[in-house]
Amino acid sequence: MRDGLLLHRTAIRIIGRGVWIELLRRQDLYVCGMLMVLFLLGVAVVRIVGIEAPATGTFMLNMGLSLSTMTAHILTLLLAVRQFPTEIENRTLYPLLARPVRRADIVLAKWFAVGCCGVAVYAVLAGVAWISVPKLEGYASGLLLQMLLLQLVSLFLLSGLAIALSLVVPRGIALLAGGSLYFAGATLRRLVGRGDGVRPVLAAYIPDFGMLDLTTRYTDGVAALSSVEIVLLLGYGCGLVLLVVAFGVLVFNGRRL
Amino acid sequence: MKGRAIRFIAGTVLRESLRRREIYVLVLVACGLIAVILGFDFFGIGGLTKFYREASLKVMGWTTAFAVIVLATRQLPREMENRTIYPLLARPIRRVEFLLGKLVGVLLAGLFCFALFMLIFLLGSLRIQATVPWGLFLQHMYLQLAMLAILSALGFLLSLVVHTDAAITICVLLYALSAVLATVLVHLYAYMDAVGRVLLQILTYAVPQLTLFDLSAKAVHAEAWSPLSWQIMLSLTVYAVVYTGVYFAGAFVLFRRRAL
Amino acid sequence: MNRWSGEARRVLLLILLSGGLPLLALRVDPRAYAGGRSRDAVARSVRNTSAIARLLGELRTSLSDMMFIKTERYLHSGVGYVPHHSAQLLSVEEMGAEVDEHQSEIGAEHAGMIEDPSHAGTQTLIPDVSRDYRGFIGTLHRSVKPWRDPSRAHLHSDGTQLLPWFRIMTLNDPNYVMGYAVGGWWVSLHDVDASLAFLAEGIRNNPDAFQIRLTRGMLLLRMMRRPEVPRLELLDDLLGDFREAARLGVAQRPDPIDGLAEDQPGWSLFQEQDLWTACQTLVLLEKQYGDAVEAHRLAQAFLGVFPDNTVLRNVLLETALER
Repeated sequence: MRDGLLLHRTAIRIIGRGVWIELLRRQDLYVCGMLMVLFLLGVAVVRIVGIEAPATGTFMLNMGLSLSTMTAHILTLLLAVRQFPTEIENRTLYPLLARPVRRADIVLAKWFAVGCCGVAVYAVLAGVAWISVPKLEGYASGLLLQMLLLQLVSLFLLSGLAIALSLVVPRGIALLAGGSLYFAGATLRRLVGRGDGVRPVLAAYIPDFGMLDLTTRYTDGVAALSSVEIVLLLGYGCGLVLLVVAFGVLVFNGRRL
Repeated sequence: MKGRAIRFIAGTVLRESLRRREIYVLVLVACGLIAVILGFDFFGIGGLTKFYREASLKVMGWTTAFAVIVLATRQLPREMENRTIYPLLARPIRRVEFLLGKLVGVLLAGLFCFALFMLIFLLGSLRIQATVPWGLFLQHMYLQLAMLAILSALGFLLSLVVHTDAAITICVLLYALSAVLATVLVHLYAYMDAVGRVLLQILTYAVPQLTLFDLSAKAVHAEAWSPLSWQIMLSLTVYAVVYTGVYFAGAFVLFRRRAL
Repeated sequence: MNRWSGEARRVLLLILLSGGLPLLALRVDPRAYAGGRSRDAVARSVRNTSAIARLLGELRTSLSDMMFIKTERYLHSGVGYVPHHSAQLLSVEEMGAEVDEHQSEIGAEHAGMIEDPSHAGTQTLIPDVSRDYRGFIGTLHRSVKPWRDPSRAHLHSDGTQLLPWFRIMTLNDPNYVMGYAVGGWWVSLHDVDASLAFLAEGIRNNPDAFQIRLTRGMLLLRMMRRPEVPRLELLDDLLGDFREAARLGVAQRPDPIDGLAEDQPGWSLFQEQDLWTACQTLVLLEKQYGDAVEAHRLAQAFLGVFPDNTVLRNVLLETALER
C-alpha cells in the first residue's frame, strides 16, 4: 500500500518535472518574459506621465492586476491544451504508458504541473503590478489574500478544464472553447440563467471564472468577503476543479491508445 | 523569378491550410458569434445596424488576423521540423521564390477566410435589412489584407529568429495593441525630453502602425463619413509595401544564410 | 465486472458532486455589491479624463467601462473626444433632459445627424496637426479614423444605435446602476414598456439603487402627463417608486460635514441632486394626488435633509394652512 503510494508520488513528480522542462524547452517562459517586458514598459510609461488623482492610481492598479490575471490564465490555457495532443502526436506518451503508472496519475500530474506553472507566472506578474503602482486609496488587505487564494483555484480550474477539453476535441477547438469559457463564461452563464426555474440551476454548471476573480472588488475598495462567503466560493471553485479533472481522468481512462 | 514556382508553392500552402480545417473551425466559431449577435433581442427594437456592423467587423478582423499569424509563423519551422522543405528545395526553386510563394499562399488563405466572412456578413445584413456601406467596407477589406501582408512577412522573419510560440505572441501583441500603441506614442511625446522625443520618432517609424489599416470605425459610422480618397489609399498601400518588403527582405537574408 | 463497478462508482461520485455545484453557485456572488469605484460615475469621469486613460484610448479592464466609452463615441459619430460632460449631467434628471434634447434635435433637423456647436473646442484623442509630431503618419491616422477638427461643431448622431451596448453592459455587470439608469432613458424614447421592463430588471438586480427607482418614477411621471394615459392606474406605481427612492437615498446619504454631504466617500454631487429631486417630487406628488397630511409630514422630514429647499418649505406652509 505504502509502496504503491510512493510509486504514484514519484510518477506524479516525474511527469510534473517533464511539464516544467517542456515549459522551458518550448520557450513559454520566453513568451512570459516578453509579456513581462511589456508590463514593465507600461509601468515606466505610468511613471513618466504620473498619476494625478487617487482614482487614476486605482485604475492603474486594477489594470495591472487584471492583466496579470489574464496573462497567467492565457499561458495556463496554452500550456494545458497541448499536453496530451502533442504527446499523442509525437508518440512520447506511449513510453510513459508502458511504465507502471496509472492513467489517472498522468492526468493528475499534468493538471497539477500546468496549474503550478500558471500560479508561478501569476505570482510574478501580480507582484510586479502590486508593488509598482502607488496605492492612493484604501483597499481591504484581507480581500487581497482572498483574491490570491481564489486566483490559485481559478488557475487550477482552467488547467483541468483545458486538459479535459483537449482530450475530447482537437487542440485548436479546445483552445478556443477554453478561452471562450474563461473570457465569456460569466456572461454566458447570465444569458443562459435568465429567468426563474431550472435555467439558473443549469447555468450554474457553466464555469464562471468571474466568481473566482476578486480583482475589481479589491480595487473597488469593498470589504473582504465573510468567512461563509469565501468557504462557499472555495467550495464552488474546488467542486468545479474536481469535476473537470475527474471528467478528464474518465475520458483518458476510456480512451484507446 | 519564375511565376510558376511561386504559384506552385502558394497553391501548396493554400491547399494545406484548407486541408487542415483550422480555418473552417475558426470561421465556424466566428459565424456562431455573428449568429448570436443577430439573434439577440435588443428591447424588440429593429434597425440597430451599427452594433451588428461593429461586432461583425471586429470578429472578422480578429479571426482572420489570428488565422494568418498562426499560419505564417508556422510555415517555415514546420517545413524544417518535418523535413518537407528538402524535396521542395531540391527542385529548381530559388529560396526567394520559395519564400514569396509562401507569402502569397498565406495571403490567399487569409483572402479565402475574408471571402467566407464577407458572404456571411452580407447574408446577415440582408437578414436585418441593413445597408452595406460598400465604399468604406471594400476599402476596409483591402486595408486589412495589406495589414495581413505586413503581419505575414513579420511572422516569417520572427519565426526564423525566435520560437514559433514567441513569434505568434509578438505578432498577436502587435496586432492587438496597435491602437493603444498609436495613442501612447502620440500622447507620450508631450512628457518627454529631447532624447525621449527622438526615441519616440524612431519608434513611430520602426514599428508598423497597424491601426492605420483599420477602417472599421468609419465603416460602422458610415452615415457620417465618406470613403477615403485615392491619395490616402495609395499612401497606405505604399506604407504596407515598404514594411512588408523590409520584413520579407530580413526573412530572406536569414533564410538564405540558414544551412539546410 | 470490477472495472465496471469502479467506473460506476466514479460516475456516481461525479453526479453527486455536480449536484452540489448550483447550490453553492446560486448562494454567493462576490461581484454583487452596491457601489464600488469602478461603477462610480464621478470616479469614472476622473479616470477617463486622466492622462493615462488618454494614452490607453478605448482600452479598459472593465467591459462595462469600455462599453460606456463606446456609447459616447456612438453619439459623436465615432469621433473620440476627451470626456467633456460635467458631473451634474450624471444626475438622473439632467440625463433625461440631455437624452430628450439630443434626440429631438436629431429628429427635427437631419436624418440621423446634427452638428452641435455647443461643445466645439473639446480636444480629440487623436491630436490635430499642430499638436501631432508624427507628420505623414499623423495625417493617415486622422484620415482613417473618425476625426473632426476640434474647433468644429460636434457631429451628433442617432442615440437609438446605443441601445445594444446598454443591454450588453448590464448583462455583463448586472450591478452597473448607471447602465440601467441611462439605458432606461434611451430605451424609453422608443418603447416605454421595454424601458420599464429594463428598469424593473435593474431594480431586481440592485434593490438598494435609489437612482433606478428614481428613473422609473420620472418615466412614469412623464407618462402620466400624457392626456391619453389613465392617471389613476399609474399613480400607485409612481408614488411607490418615489417613496422608495427617497427612503433609500436618505438612508444612504452620509451625514454632512460643514453642511455638505457631497464629495464624501460613496456620495457625490449628482447623487445629492438626485435625492433632492426624489424628495421634492414625492412631496409635490403627495400634495397633489395623495394625502396632504402625509405631504406635510414628508416635507418636514425632508427639510431636515435639505434645509435650503424652498419648494419643501412652501409645501410645509401650504399644507399647514390647509390643515
